Amino acid sequence: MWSANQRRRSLGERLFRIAETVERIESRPAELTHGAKALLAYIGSLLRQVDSTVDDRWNELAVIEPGLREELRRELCDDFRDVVGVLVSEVVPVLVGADARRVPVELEPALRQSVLSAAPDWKPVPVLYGSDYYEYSIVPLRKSELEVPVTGRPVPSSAAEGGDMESPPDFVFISVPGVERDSVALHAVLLGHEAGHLRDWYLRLSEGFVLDVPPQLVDSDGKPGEGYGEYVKIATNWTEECVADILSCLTIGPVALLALPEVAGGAGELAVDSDSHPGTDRRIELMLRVLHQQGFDVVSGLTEAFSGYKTLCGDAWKRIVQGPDLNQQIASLVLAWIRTQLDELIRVCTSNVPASDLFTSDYWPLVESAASMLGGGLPCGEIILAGRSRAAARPEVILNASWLVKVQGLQALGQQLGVVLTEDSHISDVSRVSEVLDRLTLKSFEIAEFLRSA
Amino acid sequence: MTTGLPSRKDVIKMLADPQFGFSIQPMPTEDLIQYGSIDLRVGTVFLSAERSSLASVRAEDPWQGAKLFREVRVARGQPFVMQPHQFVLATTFEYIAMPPTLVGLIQSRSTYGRMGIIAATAAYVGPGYKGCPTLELVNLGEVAIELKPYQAICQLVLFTAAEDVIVPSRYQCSTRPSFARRPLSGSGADPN
Repeated sequence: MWSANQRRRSLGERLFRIAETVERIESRPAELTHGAKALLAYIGSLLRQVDSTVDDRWNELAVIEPGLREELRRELCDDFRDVVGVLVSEVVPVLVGADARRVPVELEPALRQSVLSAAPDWKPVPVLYGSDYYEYSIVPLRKSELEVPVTGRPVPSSAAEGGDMESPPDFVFISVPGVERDSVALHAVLLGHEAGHLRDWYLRLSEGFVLDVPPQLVDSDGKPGEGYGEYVKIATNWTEECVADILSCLTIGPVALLALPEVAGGAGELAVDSDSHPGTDRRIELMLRVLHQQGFDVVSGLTEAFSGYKTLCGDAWKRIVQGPDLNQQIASLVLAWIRTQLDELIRVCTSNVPASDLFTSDYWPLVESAASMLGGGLPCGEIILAGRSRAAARPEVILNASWLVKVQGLQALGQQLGVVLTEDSHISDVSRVSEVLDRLTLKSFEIAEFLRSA
Repeated sequence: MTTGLPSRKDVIKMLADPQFGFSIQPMPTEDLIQYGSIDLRVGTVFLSAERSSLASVRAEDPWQGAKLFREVRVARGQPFVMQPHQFVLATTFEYIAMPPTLVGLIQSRSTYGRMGIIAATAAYVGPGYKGCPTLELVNLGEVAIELKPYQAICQLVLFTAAEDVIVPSRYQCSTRPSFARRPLSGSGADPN
């Protein structure tokens, strides 16, 4: 049997590795993201507390009779193993990825503002990090989940249990794919969709939708039958995703829709549902409804794109459930329920977003002006308003302008670089112009933030 | 052909006129504008040489040198420490768009030059150029010096010019420092 001493040795090894990683990260503070610095300070103090508490408790148990001592020391190590487990699996990867070489730090101030707007009383620290996987996600962390245990107390729960919000989170870990550091237009999803999840948790919007459990999932005694749990899981996930999509459109505008198909997968995979998300085609159709309500379907530059999506996805909620890893029967029941709720979801979300956080078509002239600058090879962080006054561009204006340039074609920007783009151009020429657009977009964020903080 | 150094008043006027085609983002405040020149700040990204398996760079194959440089991004308020005799590439924070009727030269500001920080070489900013010009920075001093993003370490000296044909630089629209880039086509001047 694994003795207390062996457990202590194993615990010590892991603590040493974590401390070593933390030290390595601390040694290059200039390159850490803003959120990572706050997390690092907290983890550093936690490690010191763990070290001293393990030693103190271990020594206190020295006076107890050997049999009981061995048992209590094993328990002591096991309790701390859980804390170390959360650190190793969920916190250290965030710290390692929260490096200015892996994430677009230019986006961080805008992200902080989005988080603050989404959950004004919680004020969690957003930690932006580059993930090794192709994923965008938001995971809350409460310090209580990493509390240093005292024997007899319950062990900490996993930080991954995101939506369960008994107390406000102290941090939110927000991931971007590390391999796409500069694809800021794709990362727009962070400001809209991921911040939308946070707003949903804060306002408890999706929680407010009472699931209408179909009779076939309830037994003759009125108790949950086979498939009930799976139904609740899929319905909850789909509701949360729909709410985040709606909030995304309300707060960042058309870019929420335009970025989605590229973030969610290739065009061939639009009509695939999963346990966690309704198909991208359904999400697009829902977003079109919200953007129509916001007046974006008639703004110049987007009508063709919107009508294309309408043709492609207009009947998405009418199609049957399809997806390789999905219980078709249960998901079909969820689909039947949720498609009757969509208008109400839009209404509830709209009425819960303050006017100051709404991005409406009134901003479109600014977006067009900013897009004209990007297409002309200029950043758009400082835009010229009526009367020739200048102002820092809102993040939403920059992102929508960047996508407007993409939607309208990269030819104008290509000309600035001496690259003539045609339908037959080499993909490398298209890549080069796209890269310049991404960098101009990032530069726009940097300039706008500089002006705001000046 | 260059024809003269514009006055401070002319520089302010040129920047304020969107039709003139000369822009700097963010727009410099008037205290950064002098007679014929505008102070520029250093950006947040540095390319710093590091040891690698590449033994040397052949002068006729300069883009090989990119393998010797590591990108360092510095957050606002944090220092980038330049060791004695260290050479790094950076850019201006400002994004510059030159009209056909202006050329610029980037030079160190004397305060930094006296500390040993020189913004040197290839600092010609041609007509029609757009981007954040690359700064080749060297610490010629004997002590390490901390540089912070957004410090005004250099200046763009302006000359009026007359140029009809604008050929995009191969560094056109760049926002970060980059090592030598292969020419787009042919050869010619090597502006920033």
